Amino acid sequence: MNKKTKKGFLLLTLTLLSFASYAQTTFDLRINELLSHNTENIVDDYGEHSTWIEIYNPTYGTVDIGGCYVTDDINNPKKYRIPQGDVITKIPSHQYLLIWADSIDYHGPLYTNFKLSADGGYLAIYSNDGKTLIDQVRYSALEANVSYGRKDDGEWGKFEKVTPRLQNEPYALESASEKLGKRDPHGAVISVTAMTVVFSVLILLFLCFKQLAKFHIKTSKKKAAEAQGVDIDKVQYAGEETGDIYAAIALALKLYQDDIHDIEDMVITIEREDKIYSPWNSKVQTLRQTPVIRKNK
Amino acid sequence: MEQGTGFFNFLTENLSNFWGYTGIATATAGHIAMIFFGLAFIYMAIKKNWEPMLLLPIGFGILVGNIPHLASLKIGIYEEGSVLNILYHGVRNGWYPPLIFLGIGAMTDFSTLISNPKLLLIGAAAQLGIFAAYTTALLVGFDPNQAGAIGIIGGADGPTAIFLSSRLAPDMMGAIAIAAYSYMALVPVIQPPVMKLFTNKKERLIRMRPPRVVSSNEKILFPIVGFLLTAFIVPSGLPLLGMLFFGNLLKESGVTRRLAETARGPIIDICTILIGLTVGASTQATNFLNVRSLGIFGLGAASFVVATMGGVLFVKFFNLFLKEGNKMNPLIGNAGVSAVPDSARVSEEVGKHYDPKNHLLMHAMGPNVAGVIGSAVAAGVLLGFLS
Repeated sequence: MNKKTKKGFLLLTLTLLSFASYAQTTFDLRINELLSHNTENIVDDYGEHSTWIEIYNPTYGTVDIGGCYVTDDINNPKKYRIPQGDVITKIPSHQYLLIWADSIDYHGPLYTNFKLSADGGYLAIYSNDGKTLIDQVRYSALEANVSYGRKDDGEWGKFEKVTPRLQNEPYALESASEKLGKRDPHGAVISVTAMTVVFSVLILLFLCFKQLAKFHIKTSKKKAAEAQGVDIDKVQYAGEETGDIYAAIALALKLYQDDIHDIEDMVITIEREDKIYSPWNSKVQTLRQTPVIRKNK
Repeated sequence: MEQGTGFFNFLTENLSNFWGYTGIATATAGHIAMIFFGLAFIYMAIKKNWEPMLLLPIGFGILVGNIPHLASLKIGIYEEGSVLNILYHGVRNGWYPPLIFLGIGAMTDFSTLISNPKLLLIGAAAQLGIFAAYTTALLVGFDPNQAGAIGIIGGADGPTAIFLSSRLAPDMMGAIAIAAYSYMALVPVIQPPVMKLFTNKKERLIRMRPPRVVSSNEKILFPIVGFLLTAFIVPSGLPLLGMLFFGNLLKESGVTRRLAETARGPIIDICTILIGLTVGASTQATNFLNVRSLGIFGLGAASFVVATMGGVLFVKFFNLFLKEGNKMNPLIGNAGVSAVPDSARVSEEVGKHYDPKNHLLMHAMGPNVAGVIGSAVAAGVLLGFLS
């Protein structure tokens, strides 16, 4: 491997690693819904109608929100730090976590030291350095038991049907297939897109293995040149062999296998076994001769 | 005397009840038609040797699924908790197809493809059949997810068709699987006329350059690089692509011979038996015999024709950019539909008909295995869009 290849490999590895480290982190978490005036909605673990904040993990891996900060004060990002090391702060992929804002933080890791204001306000989550903003939302005064959350299209809006730990618009959601049916009734767009993707993937593979083949041929020639002690340009690549031989072998095997069957044709052929005489397989030759006893007269 | 009459009545009543349980009493014309259908599959498998590994279990499965019985007996494939129902979980939840792909990977030699990577593109072009069937299915009134499941028949890959239909249109899975496997068996009948129609004699006589010898390093790199490239772009195809390339790595690594043998032997055999039998058994007359199934069969046949045409025409188009001596024989274009290795054999047979010394089998195996990758990618794309 020359220097250039090594550098390229290192760069590729680092790029992939950087992608991997960025993926599925707390930065992907989103505030999904909040209820700032709870009189009849669900109760917390202490039986109180506390205000709550719903966090959504849109990634394909579990994300731990422990160590992050939740605040209702734009000037104080570190208002409440969610304790680390607790299993309940982990949010599985595409799942929701409810944080109770009851202003009593000793109730547990998921109870903040502030309440959401029913008259409207600000809410944000910050990463564990207390400086990097993950998500924020400003909300206006809400009626009792009406939540404020993200709609299916990503915009914020009020919800009379409150959905803690659930999608905000489950009743309004259409399946991907239904949506696609409306947007692309004749299937032209999806066909072109899908064919493009299929071609792109295989073109990428083609380019990749074309380069690999060049590299392999070059290396083989180099090795052959070294072994023969001649210039690399004078070496003929020995990798090309006629396909006829392979095809003939493959066909012969195919024909042979086709002949093998387990259905007998009900004809028994008994062939005479020919034994070629040889002193080596003659029993007589292997026996010790019976000594002849001669009697002297 | 009275006691004797009572016993006789009791016996008659019992026999009458038993008669009511029998399949003979509850059979319908649909059941009988399906049994004939199953027998036809068994006949094609044994006498014609058309895809016997698949048609035989499916054919017998059709017989099993169409013996009429009372639902209260809890023995049918759709009755929760029955033996057949438990085995059918593997089809319905898509467990068997990835395991079959593991075996396919462990028995596939990608050497031809690696030695001539441009053959990969034929595997992409032949996926045209999938999307032609998809748009046509939409036109005739199928829902997008049903159209996607029907379209995949054009990929000519049974496990992929079962995998995708189990996700997109489980109620149509039986008909789709039967259509896919039937047309795969009929590849030697469907493809040659299309191949001859779109090629002229001069093109059919093109002799291709022999493939170069591929090093073991290249063979080891192929499943790793192939998996990373395809799965990163189409993660929804992960179950199929992951297993296919993993199986191939087991084969090519040279250090896991036992695992590769298990994958391409017992695992694929067990899964093929279970998938064939349960898919066959799922085609109960009540679910199968309807106009919709006919539509699926019609669209499936059309998609095979378009896929073959796509592959052949693409080779002709590609030849426009290739120098003399590097040109490809368009008769290998049909092998872009995956149906391994039948469509490659068709290339060989048709090619041999015009030039007995022109062996296309090795060259056709390239697009053939590329078709497996292509159809798995296409299934992933459809799954990503429609699920």
